[in-house]
Amino acid sequence: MATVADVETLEPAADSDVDLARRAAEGEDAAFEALYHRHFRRVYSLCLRMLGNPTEAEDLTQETFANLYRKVGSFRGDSQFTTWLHRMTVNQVLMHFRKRSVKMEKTTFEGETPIQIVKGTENANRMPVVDRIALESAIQQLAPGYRSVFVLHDVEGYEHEEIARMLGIAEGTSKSQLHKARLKLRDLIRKQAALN
Amino acid sequence: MNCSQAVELLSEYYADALDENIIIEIKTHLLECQPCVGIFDDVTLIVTTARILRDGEHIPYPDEQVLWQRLTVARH
Ligand SMILES: [Zn+2]
Repeated sequence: MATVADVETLEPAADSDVDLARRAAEGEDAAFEALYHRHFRRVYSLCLRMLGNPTEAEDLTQETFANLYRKVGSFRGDSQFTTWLHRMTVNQVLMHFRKRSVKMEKTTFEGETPIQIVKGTENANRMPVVDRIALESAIQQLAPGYRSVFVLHDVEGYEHEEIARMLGIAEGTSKSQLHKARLKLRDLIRKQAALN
Repeated sequence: MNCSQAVELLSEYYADALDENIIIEIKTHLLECQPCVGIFDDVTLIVTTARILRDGEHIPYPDEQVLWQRLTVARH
């Protein structure tokens, strides 16, 4: 059972996310600004990867922090602040997709060339070294549905169950889209390398 | 097991979500099929690289301060 002493030791450290969130909720602008600077890069990079477009990523980063400003008081401290903020970011991006009528399942399968498993007989046909830049640019060429699942699972480390819930798709769909996204990325990276 | 069946199961193979006997079939196929080994290796490399992307270090970030100003204006 928790004693008074335990509760006291559970007080958030000064300038921890929890502490800043509480102070921001009480209207302390400097606390909100500190949260912004601390989390700006993670929010922006998540937006950029999911959207594949820097201008939209800037707008969505802005919308996410505006939303955070309004809702920071509802952060309960029972999950990590970063986890909570990432979910908020993902939701913001998904709302944006919905406004643009991007359908998570359909766009990935329609109007896209089917994935071809290109196989070589020797190493000449192997994919070149995948560096971060090649992968980053290939991710941006994926259709939004593939991209979202790949970014959430393989980059951000979410489980299929949670991705399915966030995107409003079946868990099996999340799994099969991830699989297709990986093969598509391999294809894109090889094509890009062949051009260079 | 043929090549397209092996490739179809690749992600589940890595997720450790397959029955033992299917895993053995895949491993057997990989022993005798160099092209599939190539595909499996490539995808492993993609997944490993993706994990490294999480730190977001090499992204060209916009000016944080400019966006902060925009946000401040938008909030008031
Ligand atoms: Zn094969």
